[in-house]
Amino acid sequence: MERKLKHSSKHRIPAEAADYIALDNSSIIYPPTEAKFNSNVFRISAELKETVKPRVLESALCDVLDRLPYFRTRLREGFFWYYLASNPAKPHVFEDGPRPCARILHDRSLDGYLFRVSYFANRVAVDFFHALTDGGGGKTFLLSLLARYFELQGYVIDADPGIIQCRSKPQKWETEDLFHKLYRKLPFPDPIRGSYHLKGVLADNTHFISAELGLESLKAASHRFGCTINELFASVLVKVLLEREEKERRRSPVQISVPMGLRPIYKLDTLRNFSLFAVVSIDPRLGPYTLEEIIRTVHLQMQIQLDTKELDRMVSRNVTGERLVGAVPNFIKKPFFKILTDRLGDNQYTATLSNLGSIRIPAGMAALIERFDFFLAPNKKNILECAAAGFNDKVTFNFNSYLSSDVSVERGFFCALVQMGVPVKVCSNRGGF
Amino acid sequence: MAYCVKCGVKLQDGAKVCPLCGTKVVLPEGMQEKPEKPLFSKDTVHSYERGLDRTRKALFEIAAIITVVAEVVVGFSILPDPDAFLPMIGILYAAVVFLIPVLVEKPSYVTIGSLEMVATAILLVLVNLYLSSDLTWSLVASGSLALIWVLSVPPILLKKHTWIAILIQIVGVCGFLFLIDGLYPPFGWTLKVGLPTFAFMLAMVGLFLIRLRLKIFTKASVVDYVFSGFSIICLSIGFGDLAFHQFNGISWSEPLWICGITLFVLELLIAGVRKIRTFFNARNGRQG
Repeated sequence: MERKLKHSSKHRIPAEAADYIALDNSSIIYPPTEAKFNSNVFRISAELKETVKPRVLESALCDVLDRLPYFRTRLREGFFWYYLASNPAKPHVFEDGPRPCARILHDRSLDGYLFRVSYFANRVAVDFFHALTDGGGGKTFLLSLLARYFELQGYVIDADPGIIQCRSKPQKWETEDLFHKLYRKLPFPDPIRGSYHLKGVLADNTHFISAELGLESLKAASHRFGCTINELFASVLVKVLLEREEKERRRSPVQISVPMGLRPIYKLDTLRNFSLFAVVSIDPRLGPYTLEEIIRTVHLQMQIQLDTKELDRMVSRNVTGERLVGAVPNFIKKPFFKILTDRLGDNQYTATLSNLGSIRIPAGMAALIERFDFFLAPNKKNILECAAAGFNDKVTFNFNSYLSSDVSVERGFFCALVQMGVPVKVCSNRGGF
Repeated sequence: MAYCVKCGVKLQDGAKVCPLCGTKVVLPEGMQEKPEKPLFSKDTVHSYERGLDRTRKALFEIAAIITVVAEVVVGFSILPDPDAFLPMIGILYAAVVFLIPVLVEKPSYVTIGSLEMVATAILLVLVNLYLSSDLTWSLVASGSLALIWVLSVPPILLKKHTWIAILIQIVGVCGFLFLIDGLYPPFGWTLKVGLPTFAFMLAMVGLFLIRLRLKIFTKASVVDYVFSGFSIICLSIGFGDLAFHQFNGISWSEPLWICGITLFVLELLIAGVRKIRTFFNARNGRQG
């Protein structure tokens, strides 16, 4: 009886560490496709106002993992699917390396953990393997870790819905797979055609350019154009990519994948993956586009794709796909996932632009933090990825790329923002700078 | 706090160049800024950042599945038969040949070609050992592969040392001739036939190269390469026949001699006609 119950509730794990947690619907693609140039990792980091104390951070991490057993897991390969199983190893924190979003799955020093907590000077960074959680879940984990870190140092942190207190009790919603809950049988969305891709000599490691933008000026600029900040970012990026494509004399559509956090849309919460993506697309074959025209098109496309009915169709397609291939052994599925990700996923986008949104935390904690950063790992097809996060009066915008010497897209993007009156401060890990 | 004069962006304190355009930061004397805290610790490449990319991993997995399935099917079908060894090792060889370019981290013509040849030589020796204890034919075949390697790889590896590459090729060819001679001892023809023929061929090739270098008649065209190549091959084989009879006549190579000499004369005639045409065209041009 107990066994039957466990099986039927495999997508909703108990709060205690479990030995079998099925991956959620959007996670299943990440473990088989993990490879060099495709780490499937994202990073959220915080710059504190004081130097980080590694021992305190490690204690805080242990406390947080006791409270969030879902993160105390490792990836295992079953006959049909990968799954998560409890991880008895003690977690550690590491000194940060020079490259954000380095591979996690084959890093033996992590003892199987699917995230890496690292520190350097004032920074606390957490790299997450995407099969574990998405930006929303990662943000909650980092904020809970920081809250515990400050508490251990004697600060009092007020309760906040975005922070999980270590003394609270685990809740069921934290580990729910909401895709299966939302699934209804619906017609699938239309397929997306291939897009323009950046070309260049790939470096072995990622190179980033990180910028700090003024929030007020960004708000003013987006207000002028009648769009959101995210739409403004997407439109400027599309414009820069169209200009580059024109120089290369190519005519494929520029398509940007914009991940959408589904938590506020469906008013549901979980620490697991719960996001889908919108695709904004401009076809240069239709003629030259001004920035205003691009913004108008992007705004309309985003509004259509944020509709819950459209999102339901995507959930339906994804869950149906999972069920169709469920009975195929994993060792056969794995290579086909790798090949199909190119065809059905990465081929369709020129780049990804993910916006974590404005991070709101209690005032006592906000006074101890300087800024937040969000990084996405690029891959061989989408060699340039960008991510933004807002905190207080700043928005950080990070480009992460495999192109070691070509920064024309980054330059075009930031110069366009400067021309709109947005103050931009840049720094980079690129050699020679 | 410095600004980039080209991009208009603010730079980190102490930045020496703009990360977007590479413009150097020039500050007046006494206004140099202390650098901000470093962004990251030491620049290291971890072992877990290496490995195969996604497509190669997929190809590896597909090849592994197909190989295992094929081995099992063939094994179950014919395993009691002692000759099952041959198709099974053949499947394994096919998998290895397919996987070499997939698994080599930085594939190049030289690495892949070399590894494929080594794999083929090992296969030949294994099959030979399975069939008989006499390794003669597999050594001849492996020696041929080594000869192909010697003729094709050194020119690529030693691009700046052409003469060393040529020397290695000559030594390789001589070594191969001696290997064959050693494997078939009663004959002992290398010194009498093999080496003189090879020397004749080298001399012919040398003459052709001198003609190319000095641009005798005109610059060489495709016709020159084809005609000269065939001519050298025919004449060299004919010379082999001559050497076989200790330079006392030929037996079967008469057509080859005729063909080789005809091609040589034709090549000279074509080059000569081209030279005359170029001469008159140039004159016409000057007059025009």
